[in-house]
Amino acid sequence: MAGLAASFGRGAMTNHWIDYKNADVVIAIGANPAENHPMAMRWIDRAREERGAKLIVIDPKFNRTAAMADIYVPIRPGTDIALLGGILNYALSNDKYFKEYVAAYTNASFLVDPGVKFDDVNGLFSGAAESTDGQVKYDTKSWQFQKDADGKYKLDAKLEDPLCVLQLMKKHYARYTPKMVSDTCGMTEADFQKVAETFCATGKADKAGMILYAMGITQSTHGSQNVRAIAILQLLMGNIGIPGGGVNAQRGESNVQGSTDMALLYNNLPGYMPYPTAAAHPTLAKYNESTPKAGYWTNRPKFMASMLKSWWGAAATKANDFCYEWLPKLDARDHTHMSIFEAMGQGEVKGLFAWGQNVAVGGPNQNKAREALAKLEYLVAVDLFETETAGFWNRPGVNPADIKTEVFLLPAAASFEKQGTVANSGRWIQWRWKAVEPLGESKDDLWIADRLFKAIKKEYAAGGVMADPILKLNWSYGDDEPSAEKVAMEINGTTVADGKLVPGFASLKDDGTTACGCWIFSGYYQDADKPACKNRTKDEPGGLGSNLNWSFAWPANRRIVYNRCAADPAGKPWDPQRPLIAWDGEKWVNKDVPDFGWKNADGSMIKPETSAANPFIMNAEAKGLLWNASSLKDGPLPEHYEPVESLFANKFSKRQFNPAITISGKGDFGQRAEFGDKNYPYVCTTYRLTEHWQSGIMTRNTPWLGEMMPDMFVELSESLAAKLGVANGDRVTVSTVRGEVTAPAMVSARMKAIKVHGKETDVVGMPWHWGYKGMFTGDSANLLTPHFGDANTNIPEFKAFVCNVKRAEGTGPVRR
Amino acid sequence: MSKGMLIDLTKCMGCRGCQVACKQWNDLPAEKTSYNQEFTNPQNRSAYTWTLVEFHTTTYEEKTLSTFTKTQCLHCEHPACESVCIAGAIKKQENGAVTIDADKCIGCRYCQVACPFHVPKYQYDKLFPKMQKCTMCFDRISSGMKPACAATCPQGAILFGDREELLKTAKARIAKNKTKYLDHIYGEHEVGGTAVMYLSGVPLNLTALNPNVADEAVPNFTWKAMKQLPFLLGAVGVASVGLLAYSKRRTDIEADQRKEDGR
Amino acid sequence: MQLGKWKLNWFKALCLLLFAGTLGVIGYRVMYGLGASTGLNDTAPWGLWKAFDVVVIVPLGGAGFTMAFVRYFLNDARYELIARRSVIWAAIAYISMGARLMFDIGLPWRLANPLIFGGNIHSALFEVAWCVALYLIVLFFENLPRVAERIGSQKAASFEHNIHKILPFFVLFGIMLSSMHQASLGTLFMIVGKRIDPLWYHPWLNYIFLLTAVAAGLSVAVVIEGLTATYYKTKYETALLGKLLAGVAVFLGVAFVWRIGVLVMAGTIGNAFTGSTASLLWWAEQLALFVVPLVILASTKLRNSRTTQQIAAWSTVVGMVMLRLNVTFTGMAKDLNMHYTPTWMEWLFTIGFTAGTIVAFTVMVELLPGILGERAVHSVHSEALKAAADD
Repeated sequence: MAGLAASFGRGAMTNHWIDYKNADVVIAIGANPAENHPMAMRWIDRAREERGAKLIVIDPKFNRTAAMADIYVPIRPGTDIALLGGILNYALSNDKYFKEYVAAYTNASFLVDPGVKFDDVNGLFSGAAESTDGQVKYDTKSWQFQKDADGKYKLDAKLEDPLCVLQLMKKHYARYTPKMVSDTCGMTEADFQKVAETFCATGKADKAGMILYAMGITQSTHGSQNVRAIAILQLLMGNIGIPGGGVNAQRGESNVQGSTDMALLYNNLPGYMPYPTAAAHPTLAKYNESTPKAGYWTNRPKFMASMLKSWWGAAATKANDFCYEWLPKLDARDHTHMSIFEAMGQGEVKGLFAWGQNVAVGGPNQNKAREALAKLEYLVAVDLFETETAGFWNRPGVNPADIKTEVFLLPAAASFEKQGTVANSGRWIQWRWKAVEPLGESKDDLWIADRLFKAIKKEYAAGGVMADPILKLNWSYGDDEPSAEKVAMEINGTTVADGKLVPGFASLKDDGTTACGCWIFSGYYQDADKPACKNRTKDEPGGLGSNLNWSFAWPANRRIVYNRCAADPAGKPWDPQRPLIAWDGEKWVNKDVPDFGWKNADGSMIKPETSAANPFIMNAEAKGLLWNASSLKDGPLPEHYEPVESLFANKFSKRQFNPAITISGKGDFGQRAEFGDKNYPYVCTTYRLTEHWQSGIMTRNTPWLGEMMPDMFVELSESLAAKLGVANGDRVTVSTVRGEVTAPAMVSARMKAIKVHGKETDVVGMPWHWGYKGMFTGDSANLLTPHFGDANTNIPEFKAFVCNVKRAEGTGPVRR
Repeated sequence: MSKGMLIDLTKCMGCRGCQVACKQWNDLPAEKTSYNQEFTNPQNRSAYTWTLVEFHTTTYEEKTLSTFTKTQCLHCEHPACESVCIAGAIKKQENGAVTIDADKCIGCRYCQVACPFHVPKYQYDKLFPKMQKCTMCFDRISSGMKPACAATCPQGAILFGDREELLKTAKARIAKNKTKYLDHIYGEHEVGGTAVMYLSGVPLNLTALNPNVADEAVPNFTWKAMKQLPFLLGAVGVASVGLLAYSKRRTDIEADQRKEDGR
Repeated sequence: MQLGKWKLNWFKALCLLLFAGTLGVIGYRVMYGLGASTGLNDTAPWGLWKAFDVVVIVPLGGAGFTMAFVRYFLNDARYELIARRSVIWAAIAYISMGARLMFDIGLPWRLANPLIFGGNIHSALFEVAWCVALYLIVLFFENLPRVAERIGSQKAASFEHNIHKILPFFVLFGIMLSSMHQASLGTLFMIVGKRIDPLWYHPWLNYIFLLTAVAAGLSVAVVIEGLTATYYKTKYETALLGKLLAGVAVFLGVAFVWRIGVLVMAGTIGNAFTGSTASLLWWAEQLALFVVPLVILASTKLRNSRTTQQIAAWSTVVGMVMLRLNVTFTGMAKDLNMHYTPTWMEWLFTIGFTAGTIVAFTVMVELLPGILGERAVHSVHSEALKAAADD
C-alpha cells in the first residue's frame, strides 16, 4: 500500500470491485482473482462479455485465473519491475501514453533538481550512503523538484526539458528493452510485445485499462516499487480516476483494508495519520509541525485533535494538548512482524496476543519463528480453533516440558456470529448483522477486548505507573455486553457539546469541539437510525456500478477516487460512454461523489479549471506522482533488482538486490543463500488456493473444504520431474537454507520451465496453507521462506527465493 | 414449466463453490480424500458428492489449457433411470427434476447400470442404504428458489430457469460469440434432451462431458424390446398350441394305426 | 408307489458345509450391509450375486420350461421322467434364485414391494419379477402331483386328479412366462445401448438371451440325465437326448449366425482380433457356447453318443454362463470404469448357495416318488392333455 500512497496519496484500491466491469483490458499481475478473489472474476467476466474486454494474466504458474485469460504470460518470480519497466519503455518510446492526461494530471512536467542522478552502472540513485556492510541508506530528501522563487514547482508544459520527469523516465526506462525484459523475466519477446501492445492500447481517452495486483506484487524486497511501477504505468495510460481503470490492490483478507484503516500497522494512527515518534514529536505542536504544507493532509491537525478527543473524552482539553502526552510514542526501531519476531528471538518480548492471527504458519522462516515463540512468558491466542500458534508448544518434534511459555486460548466468534463492519478492498465499509449465536463459550472480539480492558482498568484502579491514560480512557460501550453501534458512533465522530453524529470529516475541528475515532470513516455512521454503512439499495447511476446507496465507501462515499481525472481539464468526460463526472457548462453532473472541490459551502459550483489543477487532493504536489520525490526509502522511480535470493545476476546494474532493504542477522533470522550457491538451483514461489484461506486454520477445520484440497503438495514442471526422476505423487523434499518441506510432487502442465538469460530455469511452487493442527495437516511452505522484506513496508519476500528439490522416500501425502 | 440449468463452461473458473454449496444444502458429509494431481476431489461423484467439478489440464493448440466441468445429474427429459426402476421410485417431476423416492427404492441398483452418465450413487457403506443423486434441489426449486449450486456460483456460470428459455439463452450466446463457443448445446439433443445443458468453448473431449452419447432417448433401447413382448407371448402361445394340435393328431393317428394293426 | 429316502454322503456333506458357510455370510450381510460383505461399489453396481445368482441361475432353471414344452406340447410321453426331473430342478433353481436375490438387493424386506404395491411397467426388471413370481406358482403346480403322491393322502390324491385336468394350462402359461422373462433378462442390458463392449452389443440381445436360454435349458436337462444316470443309475436315454440336442443345435445355430451377422454388419468384428482380455473372453465364450456344441451336434454319430452328448451339453451350459457373465462384467467394465473384485464372502455365498441348491435337488429327487423310478407313463396325463387340446 506504500506504493499507492506514494503515487496517488491514499493507500487503497483506487476503484472498486464492481467497477471491474467497466474495463477494456485487465492485467492481473501478482494476483490470482479466480482463486483468491473469486467474486472479482464475476465483474471481469462481465467486462469481457459486455465490452469484449481482454484479460491478461502474468504469473509464474498457470493458475485458475490464467485458465480464464485471453493472454497468459509466465514470469519469473520477483521480476515484475523489469516487465513493467519494459512496458513503460514501450509506451514512452512509441508515444503510446495519454499525453493530454499526463500533462494535466501528473507531475510529468515537473523539473527535477539537476543534482538528482541515477547511476545505471551501480544501480544507485543519488543520495546514497553506503555503509561498510553494503547496506545503503538514501537521503530521501535529495530527489526534489525545482522550485521558483515563490516556492512554486518549475514546469515544462511541453515535457521536453531533459530534467522534466517524463524525459527522466524516458531515459531511465530506455534500458528496459524488449530483449532485456524478456530475458530477465523468462518470457518470449513475442509474449512481452503482445502484453505491451494490448495494454498500451488503453492509453487513449475512450479506453480504460485496469491493473489488479495482490501479494505477488507486495511480498517482495521491492514490493513498494512494484506497486509504484504499476501506478506509473496507469498514470501514463490515463487510467487513474476513470471507470474501468485504476490500480486495484486486492487485499488478502476480507477486512484487512478495515484493519489497516484502523491502524493495524505500527507506524499508523487511525486514518493513516503517521504515528508520532518520541524523538521528533514530543508535543502535539511538534507533531502538527510535520503536517504537509499542501494538499488535503493540511487538515491533519483537525483529525488528530478529534481522535485524541474521542480517546480521552473530557480529560482531553486544548490546554493539555488533548492528552497527546498520554499517547505512547515510537522509538526509532522497526516494529513490523519480522522485527517483532527477531526481538522475540532475542528474548525482548514477554507476551504476545495472537488475535485472529496464526503466526506459526503465516510468517516467514517458521523454524526460527516457532523457536522464538518459546521465549515468550505468555501467549494469548484468540481464534476459532486451536491454531498452530496456540499449539506451538506441543508441535511435532517438540517436548512440551521444554517450553515454559504459558499459553491461553480464547475461543472467538466467527464473522457470522457477531456484528460490526467489514471494509473491503474497494473501501466499502459494510455493516454485517449477526446471523447465528456464537458456538459454545466463544465470544466476539469486541466482547473480549471490552472485558480485557475493564480488567486492566480495575488493576490500575488500585494504582500503577502512568495510570491516567488507562483510567481516563473514554471507554463506554455498555456495562455488560459492549455495543458495536456505540463503537461505530465513536469512530464516525460527534460534536462534543451535543453528542450529535457528524456528517463527515469536513466537519471535524482542531479545537476540541469534535471527537472522531477515525477520520476517513467519518460519515459512515452519520445517522444512528439509518447509518450509511447499513444502506443496501442497489442502483447504478448511468450503469457504471457506483451503487452510491449500497454501504459507504471511505472517503466521503467516493467509489472511484481521484475521479476528477475522469474528465478533461474543461470537465468533459474523456469517454462520453463512461461519464463518471461531467461539467455541463454550468454545473457538475456526477455519478460518483467527486473527489475534488466541486461545490462551495454556499452551494455554488466550482469551475472545472480550479479542480483540474488539483486532481490528487491528498498529494502535496496535487498531481499524480510519476516521480516520487521523498516518501519512499528506495528511490523516486522503480528500478529492477533481483530478489535477494536469485539464480541470476542483475543484468540492469551491478547492484544485485534492492540496496535499501535491511537484512537482520539477529537470531539468525536473516539466513539466505548467497548468490551463486549451487546447492539451491531452482526458483521457488508460494501461493494460495481457492479451497484454503491464509494459514488454513478455518478452512483446514472445515471438512468440505479439506475434502477438496486435503494435502500439501509441491508443484513442479514435467521437465523438472523428469530430471529428478519423480512421478506424480512421489514425495519430494524442498529445501532452502532455512528449512525443508516434504510433500508429494504435483507434476503438472501448470508449471513450465522458463528461459532466463538463455538458461532453462525451473520454478517450483507450493501453497502455504498447511500446518500441524486441525483436521488436515502438512508442512507449511513458510518453513522455507526468507525473513527479509520490502525496504518500506518490511513485507517478507514470500514469493521469490531459491531452493533445492530432491526425491524423498515414499509416495502420497505427508501429514503432520 | 419444466426447469433446467445451463452451465456455461467458458465461465467456470473451478472455484468449486457449487460443490460445497451442494453438500451444505443437502447435508452431505465430506469424504475421505487424498492428494490429487488434478485438483478434482473427491475423485468421483458418490452418494455423498452429488456434484463434482472435474479438472483437466492439458496442452491444446500449443497452449496450456485447464477445463473445469461441473458434473451432476443431467435430469434427462426421458430418464433411463426412471424407465428401469422396478419399484417406480424414480420420477421425472413436472418441474424437470428427476428424483428418487427412498421409501420405494428396494436397492436393486439397476438405475446405476442404466444411467449413461453414471449418476445414481448408492450408499454401499450403509446397512439401510439409499440411492442418491442430485435432485436439482427439488425442495428449493419447489419453493421458487434456485438450486444451491446455481445460487452460489460467483460467475453466474450456472443458470437456472425454464429449459426452453435457457435454450434460447444458449443459442443467443453462441450466435453472439461464435469464436468463443462451440456451436453445440450439450444436452439439447443428447439422450433425447436433458434438463441440465452445457455450453463449452473447447471440444467436448477436453471436458468431463461424455461426447459419445446418442441423441436417442435411452428408455427406447429397452422399450423397443418390451413392446414386442405381447407378440412374443402370442407367438409362443400359438406355436405351442399348434404344435400340440399337430403332435396330438400324430399321436391319434399312430393310435388308430395301432388299433387297425391290432384288429 | 415307492417312497424314497434321502441319504447323506460325503459329497452332500461337503455341499451342506459350504451352505452353512453361506448362512454365515448371510448373517454378516444382514448385520453389516452390502458394502461390508461384498466388493460392490458405484463402478460395479452388479456383482457376482446379481450376475450368477440371478442372471445365470434363471436360464439354468430353463430346463423346466423347455422340457415341459417337449413333454406336453410335442406331446411325447417318452420324455415324462426327463421332464419331471427338469421341472423339479427348475422349481429348486428358481426358489434358490429368489432367495439369493433377497440378499443382493439393498433392502431385502422390500423384495416383493414392487409386486405388492405396484412397480413400473416400463422396467424390464419389473417384468422379470412378475414373470418369475408367476412362474414360481406354475412350477408349484407342475410339481404338485409329485408332492401329492408323496403325501399319499386321499385328499391330496383327489386334488392331484383335479390338478391334472388343468395342468396343461399351467404348462402353457409357464412356457409363455419363461419365454418372456428369459428374453427380458437380455432386455435388462439393452438399456446400456452401445455403452457395452461392441463384442457383446446386439440390437436384439433379448432374443439372443432367449435362444441361448432355450439351448442351455435343454442342455441342463441333458446334463441332469447324465448325472442321474451316473449317481442314481437311472436309464440314460441316448436317443431321446440326441433329439433334444438336435433342438439345441438349431437354437444355437440361429443365435450364432445372428450374433456374428450383427458384428460383421456393424463392422465391429475386428474387435475380436485385438488380443485384449475382452476379446479373449469373447473367443472362449464363442468356443464353448457355439463352436464345440455345434461341431459335435452336426454329426449324427456324436449326437447319439453319451460322452459327446454330455460334452456338448456341458459346453453349452458353460458357454451360456460365460455369455451372461461377459455381458454383466466384461461388456460393461470399460463404460462403468469397473473396479470390482468379489470378496471371499461373495464367492462363498454363491458357491455355497449353489451347493445347497444341489442338495435340495437331491432331497427332492430322492424323496419324491416317480422321479427316479422306471419310466412309468401315467395315461391320465395324456388324457388330460387330450382334453386340453380339444378345448
